[in-house]
Amino acid sequence: MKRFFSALIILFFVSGCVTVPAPKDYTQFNASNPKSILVVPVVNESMDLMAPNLFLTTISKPVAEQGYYVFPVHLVKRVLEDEGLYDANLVHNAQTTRLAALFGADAVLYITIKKWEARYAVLSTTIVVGLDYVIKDGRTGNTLWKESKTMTYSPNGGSNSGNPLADLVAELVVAACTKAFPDANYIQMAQQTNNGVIATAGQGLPPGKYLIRYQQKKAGMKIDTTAPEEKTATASEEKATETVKEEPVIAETQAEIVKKETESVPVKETASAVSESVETEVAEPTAVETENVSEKKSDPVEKDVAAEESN
Amino acid sequence: MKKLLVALLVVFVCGCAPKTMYTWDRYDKSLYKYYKNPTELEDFRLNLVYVIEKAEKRGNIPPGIYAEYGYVLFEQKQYQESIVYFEKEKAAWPESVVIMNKMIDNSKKAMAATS
Repeated sequence: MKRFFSALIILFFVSGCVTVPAPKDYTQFNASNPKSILVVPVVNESMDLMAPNLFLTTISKPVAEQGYYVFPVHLVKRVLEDEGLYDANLVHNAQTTRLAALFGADAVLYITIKKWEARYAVLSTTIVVGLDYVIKDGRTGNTLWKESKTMTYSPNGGSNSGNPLADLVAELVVAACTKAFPDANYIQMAQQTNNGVIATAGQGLPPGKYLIRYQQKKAGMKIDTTAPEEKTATASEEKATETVKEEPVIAETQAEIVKKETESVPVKETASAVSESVETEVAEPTAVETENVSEKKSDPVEKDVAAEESN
Repeated sequence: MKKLLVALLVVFVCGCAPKTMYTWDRYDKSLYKYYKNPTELEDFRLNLVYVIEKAEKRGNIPPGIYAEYGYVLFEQKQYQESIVYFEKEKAAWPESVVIMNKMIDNSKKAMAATS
């Protein structure tokens, strides 16, 4: 039971449910009505040299899931380098209209990393990620939308089992994991920040063309037609585990979450509101655990990646 | 009791984290790995193959994935193959036409230069 509640607390944090201030003015944004967004390399004001690249891996998904065409970030980075824009500062100082024309983009998303730091202590680790987001119109260069967000994360804040020794052990484990795989925490933080900033109604980006189309389609047909396809997907999943090694999940708490989710198999009927991605998982109990989880909650997998990196 | 808790947990998770429109799978993870080890381009390519296969089966390939894959092929000097994927990106996403045409030109030029 206590485990359940600590898992809930963790999940609450992971899913990034936040309260929202007054809605933004979208007059300019709607007038411009961008369909495609060019995410250019990220300017780094932190001390962490890897931060821009790590961050770049987290940004396509939330923007695309909001319904926009997102230009492939890695290709964009390389093409800009070929244009002589080796440094993100150069890119950010270049004319927006020129960048947009180069790629045929409706709008350009500029991101600056203001903070990307971890403070370590024996029992507590605090991760701070601060980001600035600005979207400019590709034709006029006018600012269409902007947002700043700083998030602070102390991974062991949730452990209070009533047993001081167990708490101490849990905290030590979490602190050690955080310290050993800081990238995983940064990525998780960046993902949460992105999701909150981009997908929050009235604050983030309005639903784009593809999201609107998708929602209409989904409203039109509620019948689950995905099941036969998912069966075939299982085969390729198994095949792919041969090419990409998956290490066991490290952090204890996260292993628990994974376990809980795999336990959820028999409850398919009870949870009728379950989204398709979860049904997918239910349909494939044999699939790789870590891979499944990555679909909706990436933290255990990111730990996993970090584990691989350190090996 | 346990089942109820699990059900609650499932509802909670789903209520907060909506399902994704596209099959991204390990795209972000593999790009991360590639940035950590820039020599492992082939590993990145294989991961993209995996993502593409899976997403195509589900019929929900994310924007940019074909192009990203095409670019890896381009970097590996497989110009002919890269054009195939730049074309696929173009066909799937009209927003990509401008840059994909440029990429296709680049591949053709590179092909002409090496042959």
